[in-house]
Amino acid sequence: MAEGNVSGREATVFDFGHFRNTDGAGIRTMIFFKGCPLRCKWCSNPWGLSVAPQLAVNRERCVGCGACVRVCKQQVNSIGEDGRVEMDWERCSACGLCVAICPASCRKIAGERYDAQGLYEQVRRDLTFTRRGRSGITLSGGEVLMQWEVAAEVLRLCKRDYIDTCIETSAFGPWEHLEALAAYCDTAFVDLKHMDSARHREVTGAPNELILENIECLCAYMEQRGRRVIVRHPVIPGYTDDESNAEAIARFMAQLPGKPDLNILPYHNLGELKYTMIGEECEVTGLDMMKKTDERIGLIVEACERLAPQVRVTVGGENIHWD
Amino acid sequence: MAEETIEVKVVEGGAKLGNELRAGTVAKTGSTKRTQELNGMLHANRPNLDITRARAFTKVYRETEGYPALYRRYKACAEVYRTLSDTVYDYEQLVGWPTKRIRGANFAIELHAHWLVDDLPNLRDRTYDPFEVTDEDYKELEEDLLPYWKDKTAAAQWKHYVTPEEWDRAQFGGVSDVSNYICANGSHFIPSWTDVIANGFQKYYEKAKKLLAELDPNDPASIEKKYFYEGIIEVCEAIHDWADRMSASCLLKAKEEADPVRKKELEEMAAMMKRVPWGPATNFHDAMETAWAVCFFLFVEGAGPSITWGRFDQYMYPYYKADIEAGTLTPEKALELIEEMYIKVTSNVWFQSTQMAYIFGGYYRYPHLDVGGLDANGRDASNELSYLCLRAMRYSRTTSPAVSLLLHQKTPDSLLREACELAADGMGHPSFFDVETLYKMLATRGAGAGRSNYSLQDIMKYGSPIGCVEPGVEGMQYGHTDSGIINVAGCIYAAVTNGKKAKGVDGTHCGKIVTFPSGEPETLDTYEKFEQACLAQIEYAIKEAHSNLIIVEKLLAEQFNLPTFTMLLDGALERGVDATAGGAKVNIGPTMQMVGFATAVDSMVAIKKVVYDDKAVPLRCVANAIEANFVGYEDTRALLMAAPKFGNDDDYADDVACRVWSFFGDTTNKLKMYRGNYCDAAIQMVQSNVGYGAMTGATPNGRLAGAPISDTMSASQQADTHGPLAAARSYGKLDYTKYSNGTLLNMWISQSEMMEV
Repeated sequence: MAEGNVSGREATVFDFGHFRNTDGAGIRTMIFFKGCPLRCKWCSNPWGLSVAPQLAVNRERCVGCGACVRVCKQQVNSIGEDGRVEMDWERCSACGLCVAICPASCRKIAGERYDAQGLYEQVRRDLTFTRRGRSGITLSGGEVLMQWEVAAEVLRLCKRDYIDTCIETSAFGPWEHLEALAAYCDTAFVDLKHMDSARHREVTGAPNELILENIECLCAYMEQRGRRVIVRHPVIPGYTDDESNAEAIARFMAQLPGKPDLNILPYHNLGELKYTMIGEECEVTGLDMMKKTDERIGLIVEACERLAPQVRVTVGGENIHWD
Repeated sequence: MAEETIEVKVVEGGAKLGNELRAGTVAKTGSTKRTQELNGMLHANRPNLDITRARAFTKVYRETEGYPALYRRYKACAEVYRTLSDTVYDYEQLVGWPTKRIRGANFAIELHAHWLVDDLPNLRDRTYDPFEVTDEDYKELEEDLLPYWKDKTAAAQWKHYVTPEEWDRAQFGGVSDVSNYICANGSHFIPSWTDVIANGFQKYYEKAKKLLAELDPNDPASIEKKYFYEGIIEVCEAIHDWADRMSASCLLKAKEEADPVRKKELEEMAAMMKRVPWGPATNFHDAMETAWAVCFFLFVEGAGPSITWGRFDQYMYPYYKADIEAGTLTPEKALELIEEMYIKVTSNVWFQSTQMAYIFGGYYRYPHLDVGGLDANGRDASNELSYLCLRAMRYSRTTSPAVSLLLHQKTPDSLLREACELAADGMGHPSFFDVETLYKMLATRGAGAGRSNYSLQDIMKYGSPIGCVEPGVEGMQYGHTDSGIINVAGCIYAAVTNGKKAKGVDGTHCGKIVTFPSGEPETLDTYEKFEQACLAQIEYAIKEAHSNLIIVEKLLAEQFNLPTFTMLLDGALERGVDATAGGAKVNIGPTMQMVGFATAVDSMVAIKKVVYDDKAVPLRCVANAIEANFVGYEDTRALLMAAPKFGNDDDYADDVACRVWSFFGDTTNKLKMYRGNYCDAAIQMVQSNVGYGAMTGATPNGRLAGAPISDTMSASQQADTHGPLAAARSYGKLDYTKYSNGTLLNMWISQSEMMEV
């Protein structure tokens, strides 16, 4: 279940993206914070769930040399019948000894500690590219709210340097924390999964009252300052794609202050391998990638046209209007 | 001639567009019916050999035994114009073809006979760049033409100056190579377009007459110049004669034409050929005709690649604007003419020796056309034609010419967007050039550590890339560019193995000394000593190529002159000096070309890390490993492959890259060439990384023997794992001004990384 507030002077980050273009305008430098209070069953980035550093192993690249078997003090590794490494995940303490020694470079520790200045140094490397146009940084996760102090400081440092800033959040956290981030944010992406609180709890592990309340506060806060909120809705077959949810979302969108865009994210299965790499399994599995023209997407687009005609609806992160 | 049926080989799983083009199902592309038909006609032909030029040369040279070299050469060039094909095809609006058949090569027998005499039987079905040749022509080549020329080519004569061992090594050794220079005289050139379009060849004819009359018979310098001016006059007359023949041909076709619209068109074309290219262009169509005719004249007279249109949208714009204002031209009509020019120039295939086709295969002859850039006052120079030239390529979808955008801070977003849309079509067009770096390169072009003869005005008004990426200035610069080719990956192999080339790879000298012994691995006990050995190998290879290049340069200057190139150089007529002998305002080349840069850098970095910093294995072990192509050395290979790589913004690797880069540039820039200019460095050769890779053994970065080495100046294949921004930051650390003959970066971006806007 949800982990508590782990914010402090340092944050755990599991990845950077230096050339992304679907989570904000132009070219984005992305920082992925590790740790999330929700457990959405379709999560496409499972490395972001636990706040603790984790070992990730890509077995596809393993050459079966056994170097990791010899170096590991906890006896996590052994060579399996197919000549590739097998992992006893329970034993692993993510010490990282096996990472450096692997000649096939198939291991990494997901999760490193950074202070705000350290993260800002990473952002600064891309400034030649991200200063132009409306390019900039996007803080994502995991859930950025969980490590809000460092995140807010990174945003502040960026704003001081005239860099465009975005966050991506589930809005599941205290409003004060969200406000601290919003204060230095040009655009906020906020997730809206299911409008029925009981169903929301079933599929994400938490009810949605706090989230809905935060979204309303966030929209009002950003509208007052002339900034932008984009509500994101993942369409997951069997979890969030029911007709009543589509209508409820449209009604909710219609009454939000500042008329934020609704950006629909079609289900994709690209994260499945990432579960295998940390020794876990995804509950939502075996589904095909969803096309942008899928009828389940059409359902919500149609509901918005009918019930929230002022809301601009786009499908896929690359199709957001940055005007 | 009867239409031949062409068997289309559709490759299972091959590139879709390639297969469709070969099958002729999409070849008919273009914005209008006319360009669609012309494009279809182009693609219906396979590359073929034309012996018209070879016959003309043989005839003249036989008749003029004992005459001065320049006299014979100019007369032969004039004879070529007198015998050029006068065919006019349906749908055409631009007149003239360099060959009897479409996609032909009117090849330079005086540069190719020495190898072709042995290789002619393989020409029709050699692996790279096969050529069709008719039985009749084959017989004439075999029995008459080739035996006459086989001992007279530049390469055959160069053989007298060096040992057979050196002659082989410089062509087939695969480390220090000059094979691109010896068979490609007359290349890499931006003629004085502004002048020739505005005045026509008439101007050079009259100027030569005047200068001939003014010659002082008591001045020893006049002896050679008399032949020079007489030759220029004869060549001009031959061009005039060609235009008259073309005009007559258009009229003849008009007579036979039933469609009254086309009949009128042909009559107008006949009238146009009476005006240009002999005289001044009076409208946009005239100017396009001169632009096309001069381009293919130079492709016939010269044997090499890269006749370049330079700043096409600038010198053509006055004609375009005047016609648009007068209401005699529409943008659509201009677009159609530009497309036709693209289709026709694609017909110019490059005829190369079998060894060169192995490195440069693909028939591509590197014509180049630029748009955008700055004007002489530093303002944005783009105009409607800039857009039309980019758009025309999206319709014609031809490989030629290389269309490029001269990019700067003031480039309008709309033009950049048009260029990006063309880029997104995925055909490799356009190239993007940063003009500020281009200007810096031109400022030291051919001048070593000093300043070139170009003024800033020359550069800003007429400067543009030639061929692939080589900086040049319209009408002011002559010289062959990618001439000496230095495979630095091969140099690193030699540094580790004390001067050897690997066994069992392509080319000569396998398992033998290919450069010089720079020390057994045991003697290289510090990284500094190892790096010195690598750089010494590179220096040796550069100097060996240089020593060969200047010999061939001298031969070309003395015997292989180029009258049409000379006319189209500002001031060459006044100087009375041929282009090959130094008639240009700025002489450049032959230049030094680096291949396998990132492979070499990654190899040095891997050795620095594994051998010297981590002390995991000794250098001898790496030497044994690469000699064994890593068989039995898989662990060593894994260690070497895990070392840092160039292209990830990691200074551990990038520092070595910067040192190798600067060393190559500085070493090259110090060398003086036959015509008095300094050598320029370049790193730009596309596709040759495959051929040179096949001639290179396993390298210490873990690359296996025979695999392609790194492409252009890009990071090694799959080595830049930190994304395009980190790669760009690595590339940004290098000093580009040291490479005044141009640099080329090849970045592939997957479609999913592109934004829909």
